[in-house]
Amino acid sequence: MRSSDASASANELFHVKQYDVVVIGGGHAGTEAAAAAARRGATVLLVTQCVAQIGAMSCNPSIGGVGKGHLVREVDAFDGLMGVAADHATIHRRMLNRSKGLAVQGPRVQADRRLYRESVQAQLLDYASLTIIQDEAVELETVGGSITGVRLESGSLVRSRAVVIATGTFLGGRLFRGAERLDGGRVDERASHRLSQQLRALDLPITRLKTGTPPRLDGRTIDWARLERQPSDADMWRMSFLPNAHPPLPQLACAITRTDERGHDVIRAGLPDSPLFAGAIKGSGPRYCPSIEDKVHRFGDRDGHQVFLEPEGLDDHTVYPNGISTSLSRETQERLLATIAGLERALITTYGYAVEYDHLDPRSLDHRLALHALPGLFCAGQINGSTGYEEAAAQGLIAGLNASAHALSLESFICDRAAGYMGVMVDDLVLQGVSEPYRMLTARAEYRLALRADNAESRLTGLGIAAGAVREQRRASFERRQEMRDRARLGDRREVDPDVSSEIAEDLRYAPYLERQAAEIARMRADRDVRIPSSEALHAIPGLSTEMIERLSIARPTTLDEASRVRGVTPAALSALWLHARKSA
Amino acid sequence: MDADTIYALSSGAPPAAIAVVRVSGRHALAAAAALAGPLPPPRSAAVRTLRGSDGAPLDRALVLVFPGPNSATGEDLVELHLHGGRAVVAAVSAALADQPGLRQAEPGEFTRRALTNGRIDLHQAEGLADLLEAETEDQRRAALAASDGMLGETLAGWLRSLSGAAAMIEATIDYDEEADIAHDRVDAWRPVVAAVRDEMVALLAQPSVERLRDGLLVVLAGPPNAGKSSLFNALLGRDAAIVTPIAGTTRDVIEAHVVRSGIPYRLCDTAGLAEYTDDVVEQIGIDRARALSAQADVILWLGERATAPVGAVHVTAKADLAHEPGGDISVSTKSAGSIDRLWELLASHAREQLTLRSDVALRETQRDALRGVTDSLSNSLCEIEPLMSAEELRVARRLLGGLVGQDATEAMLDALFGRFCLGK
Repeated sequence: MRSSDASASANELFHVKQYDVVVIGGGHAGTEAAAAAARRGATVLLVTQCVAQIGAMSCNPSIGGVGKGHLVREVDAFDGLMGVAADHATIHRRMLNRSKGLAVQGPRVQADRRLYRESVQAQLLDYASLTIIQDEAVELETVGGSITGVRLESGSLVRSRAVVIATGTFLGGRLFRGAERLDGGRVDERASHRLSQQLRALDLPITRLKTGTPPRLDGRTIDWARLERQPSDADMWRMSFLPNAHPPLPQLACAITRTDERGHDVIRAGLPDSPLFAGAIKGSGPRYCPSIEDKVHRFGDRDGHQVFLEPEGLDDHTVYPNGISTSLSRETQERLLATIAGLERALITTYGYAVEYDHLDPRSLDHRLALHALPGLFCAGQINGSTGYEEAAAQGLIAGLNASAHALSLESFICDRAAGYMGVMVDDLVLQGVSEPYRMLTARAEYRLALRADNAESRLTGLGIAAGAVREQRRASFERRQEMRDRARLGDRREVDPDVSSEIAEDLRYAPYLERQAAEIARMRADRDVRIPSSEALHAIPGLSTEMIERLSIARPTTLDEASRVRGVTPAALSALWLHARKSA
Repeated sequence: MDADTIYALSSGAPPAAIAVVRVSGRHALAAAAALAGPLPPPRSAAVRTLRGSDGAPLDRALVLVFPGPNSATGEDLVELHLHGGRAVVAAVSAALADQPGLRQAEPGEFTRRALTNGRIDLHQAEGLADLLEAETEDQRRAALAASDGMLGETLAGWLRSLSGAAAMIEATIDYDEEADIAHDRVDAWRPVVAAVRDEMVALLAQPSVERLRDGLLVVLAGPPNAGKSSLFNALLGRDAAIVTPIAGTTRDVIEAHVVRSGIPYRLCDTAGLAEYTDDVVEQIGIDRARALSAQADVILWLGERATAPVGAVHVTAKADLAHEPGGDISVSTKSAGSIDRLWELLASHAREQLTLRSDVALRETQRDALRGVTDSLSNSLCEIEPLMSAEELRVARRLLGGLVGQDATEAMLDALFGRFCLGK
């Protein structure tokens, strides 16, 4: 793509570096991708604009939850970073759905922002084959339609067979607050612009999504005494399956307050200068994490909405009021707080705002999170239309494992829907696409009785070892605990970790349901063996309508099983595909 | 293209005025020419004498030729319109079977070939089959209701209700912390599910599309020599079975499809129910007769009242000879009036058993799936743990979603976020 006259070549020779995998972005997706690729044996370069911000939690200070906690445990089972960092930084823990059966129990912690970031950075330092550079990726290098490297802002060229883009909301990001419009800084803007342009030149479907944050408060100005306290869980469960290397930190309480009609009146009065309602924001936001103005607008009959006050750190007074994400003007934000119990005198340290950003239609990716259109390019995290740290981390893991497989000619790693929430998410993204930011919910997992947060190690660490993505300490811990599981199944509970013991007991409780699901899973995996032709060949299949061919061409399913989950594909179309496959067999 | 050339009777079961035999596949033209001599030009009908391999005439028939791929099956296709007698159809079928590369079609094989060759899609295939075979008013109503999407609308309505019910449980699972969703009204989904299940059960109690098409199953039963075959023939108005006074002449079940006043019937004349026979063939006939009687909608019992099966209509036959009055109905094959009265009795049974109480009828495959749905719904109501109820509802929604062609999970998430204000 680039011209290479003699002087440029000489210049490049001086600057050229060589890595198996380059990861662009140092957030939750980027760091997991870099670490996973390195674990599989690749030499990795992580390019980030700000080394100090690697592993930063840019939104709420919590990790995990229902569905999300499952993802954290699955990433951890693959020897990832997130669970260990969460344990290192936990200042409040809460097991959600404690009364509802282990399958849907969701571990969630509040993490000290600084400690979390420090843990991620410290963990990355342990990877000898991973290099971190503070620079900007400005252009992808390609030869013959495949990735050959990345050009950096500093002028260096990095040669690499695989590149992972994990740039979050950074591509085409735009901030909104009342009538204010903020761009993410000139330098960022220029860099993202070129990368964004290059992606657009590939004729990829790129659309806008939005997300938002609440105003951050100075905790010293909150009247805690008037509020309902939510203490941390008494038992010290951990996110990671590895034993905690550090003594636990002091645990803080959260608190709950509520908006009321007075606040809703303030919001309604402020709507005219809301970028959302004035039409300035075009991207769709999530239905499940809506802004407070959205909640008031859509559920007008409700007399109040909960607000969770979450501390951001042990030596940080900042409090995150979860539940009042907003892009209303500064004045409206102040007037709203004045109506909320306990927050009447609270000072805002940073005002809330909404972000609108570019995302790629994830249907242009395959199950490795690799782009169909450009071999060697992988995408992970918000750029794929997801939301949340945990969703990003899990995609980073999958993309990193497969980027290193691509670079080193190893076997791809595909997680299917019956193996883990990671598989459910990737399958949903690449087959269904997104109409709003994608969040993990247990309701999305049809095999959720089998896919528990507590049994992620049993389900996945063996696969991780087989993929060469698990290090020695983890492998040893897993084998020790497998031996405990074997004994516990036979009734010998001596020196068995309590979590292993309860895992085995829960297995028995679900056994009849799991048997029925096993039949469903077998059917799904049988349909996976029925290959269907590429989109170009679909026209030759009798009985497929133009509409069906269009739907299939966008999602590009390769098996009958995948085709069955493409939205709008009818049973009639599936039988036509099946008949065709049988005739061609 | 499939290697075999297939043939089958494609009109209703004989006897009928006309019986259409279709031959499809690459040997169709050669086979038809072997029976009929020179074939007429494509798409025009001509009368030909069909002959067997020995040259003996089988029937004077109308022959039509549709060369592939622009035929109903997408292959070379020949239609033979025969005189509708059972013997004629059997003889022509046998002559076709003698032709090289030909075999009897399996049920639905013509439609499957049409589907494979892109002449129709699956929905059309199912709808078409019903419309072609719809002979009566009730069937037509059901077929039209299906094509109007009334069935689809009913099923989709149920999926909406179940999605809403499931959303109530899923909200409590995926949004454990939200005090704003009614954790105190955890059982609000139960009446919704119970109501849907009851509606499904009511629909399942209605006759299926197949039953509407096949008609009221009327079995003539009774001891040997009781006059069953004579009555059978009198009901048909023509000689369909050999009627002799020798016990055990009717060695097998003889079936006839009849439409009278817009109501379809399947009349079956059974072998005489001797208590014991050492004739193997006779025994097979007797076993079949017993099996049919078990499925019958109406049993016409010709014999002593004391030995009549439970629920049977006791017919005093040979009323012109008999001295035993007092059956439910007396008939004489010699009296057209008494046969008409018997028909009226059958019609009243048919109206009772084969009338749709709504304009929606289900196919057997749909009924099977719906039975699975009602089972899962009942299970969900028995479960106490929300997670397990949700699992049963998931199975039910997946089955129903498959019938409607909708993604059950998406439908539920739409209900979830439409109804509840969720998320922080």
